[in-house]
Amino acid sequence: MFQWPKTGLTLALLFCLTVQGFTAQGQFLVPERRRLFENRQENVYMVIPAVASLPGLGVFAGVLGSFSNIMGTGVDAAVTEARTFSGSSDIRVSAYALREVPLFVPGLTVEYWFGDIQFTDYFSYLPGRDSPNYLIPYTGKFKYYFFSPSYRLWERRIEINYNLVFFKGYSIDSSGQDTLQGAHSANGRLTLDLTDDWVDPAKGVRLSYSTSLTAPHSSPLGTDSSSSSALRSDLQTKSYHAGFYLPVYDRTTLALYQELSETWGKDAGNAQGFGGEARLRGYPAGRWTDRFAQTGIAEVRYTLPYNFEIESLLVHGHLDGVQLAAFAEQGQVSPTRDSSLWSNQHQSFGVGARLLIDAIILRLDLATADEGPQTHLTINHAF
Amino acid sequence: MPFKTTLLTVLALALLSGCGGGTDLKETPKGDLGTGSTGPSLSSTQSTQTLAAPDGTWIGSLSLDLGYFTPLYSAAGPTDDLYALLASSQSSLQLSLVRILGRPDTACRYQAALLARDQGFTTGEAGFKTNRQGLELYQARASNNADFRVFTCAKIKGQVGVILSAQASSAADLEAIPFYGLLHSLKGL
Repeated sequence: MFQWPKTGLTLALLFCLTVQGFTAQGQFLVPERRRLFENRQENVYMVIPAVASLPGLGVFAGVLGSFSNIMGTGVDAAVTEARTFSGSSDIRVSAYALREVPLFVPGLTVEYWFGDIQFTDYFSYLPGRDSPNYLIPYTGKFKYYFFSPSYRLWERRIEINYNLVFFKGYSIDSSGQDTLQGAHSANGRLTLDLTDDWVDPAKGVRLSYSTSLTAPHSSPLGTDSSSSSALRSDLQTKSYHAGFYLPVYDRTTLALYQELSETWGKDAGNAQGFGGEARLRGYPAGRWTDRFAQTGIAEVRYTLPYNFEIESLLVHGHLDGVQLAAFAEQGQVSPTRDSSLWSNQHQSFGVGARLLIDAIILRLDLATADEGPQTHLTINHAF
Repeated sequence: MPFKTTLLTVLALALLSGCGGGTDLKETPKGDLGTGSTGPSLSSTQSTQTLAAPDGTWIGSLSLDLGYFTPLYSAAGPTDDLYALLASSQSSLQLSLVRILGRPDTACRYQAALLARDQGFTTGEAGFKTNRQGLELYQARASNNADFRVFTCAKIKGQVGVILSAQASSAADLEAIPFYGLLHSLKGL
């Protein structure tokens, strides 16, 4: 059975509830929404061109776009396109997402993603708390399909998702071989969002729970390959997420976040990509994975308020603010559920800048840890 | 800060950052395999070991110097992933020859990483080398006190290849001329 960590999280929860009780003036547990999702501005978009040079791969150019409430339909979309234009590598990235597509029942929407990715190489790390800082290359070529019906009610404070993923591409199997496989995976997620905003919360609590579910072997997204055992296992993964948002000073929010995942089931050997991850921004993605994983983050967000419309070729929408952030985070992984998960934790620190354009947040984080710096350019908060 | 300045700063950082890369591989440059520097010269007693794909088709072969290596095991059939186990009669060198699928650098680096994670080995040089048959081999080294390992991987035909795992109690034994002779003899059919 899952047990919350006895000290840090419990104290943080009590502190959060106490502060909320004193500051929310009667809104003890449920802060009033600052805005409603349905009132989002129409046709907000942001298109971010980027040029990057990666050692050994050459120079590639890409564009990252996010679109909100297209033509007032409530539908959101995202697109990423990137291509090499110099160097010996052939990098191609195409990813599209349609979100918030309304269905016939109020509150019921569907989300669909498609990604067709090709790099010269992808890199992985061994799972485990003693995983060496030693990259293992494999063929960087895959297609990714994601289908997710969602049901939301009570001002989106309660959200239920079913997520079905079909992955077809190369991965490292349990004996360390680079093999082409296709497999489905599925999970369900329940979120309770008792905050004042679904995109940029300044106060309140957000809790969520997800669990892996039995996935079909065939769906409109694709059909499993016969050798999909490395990707498709009998393991069951559960994860727990808790975010606490405390308005500590004018325009300043302290965001505390704790995530824990646990994986049960038959031994998967040294298979890559199973279990959970300590998601620390100071390390590359996938650096620390194992059956059990936890991450704790403290982040201070200071928002400089702005209030004007942006009408340009690359950005269209209402700029609500520019947010500056500083964060410290720690996490660890473990093959067993015991105190080792909370000892000798990896730590990372960083700063970030975010543009708050209606329901879109453009987030740039710079973080460092004992293995060097990392940069993350993403859309929306991670928590 | 004016909005335009902020936006330009963000874009400039994004352009310069490359959006986060992993640790660079510390590999040796591509080059010839070399010939070895210790042990006896190649003897005239050579034996050919054939390599089969899982469906039984022959995909390659290599030559064993029976004056230096003693076969301990040979594959029972084409479905057997373990092609051979060899031990040197003149040094501490031991070899296993196993079928793999996919890229050679994936399998070889994976094995070295396992030793580092689970047994405290230190990973050493790694990189692509070409043998006299023109076949590209990937080698990854690891060591832990008096335990020296070198993994040599090659893709022979299609997605099917081989990993040669060599183990010795001295680094010099891994430089044996008959061992390099075996690596140079590896070829696809």
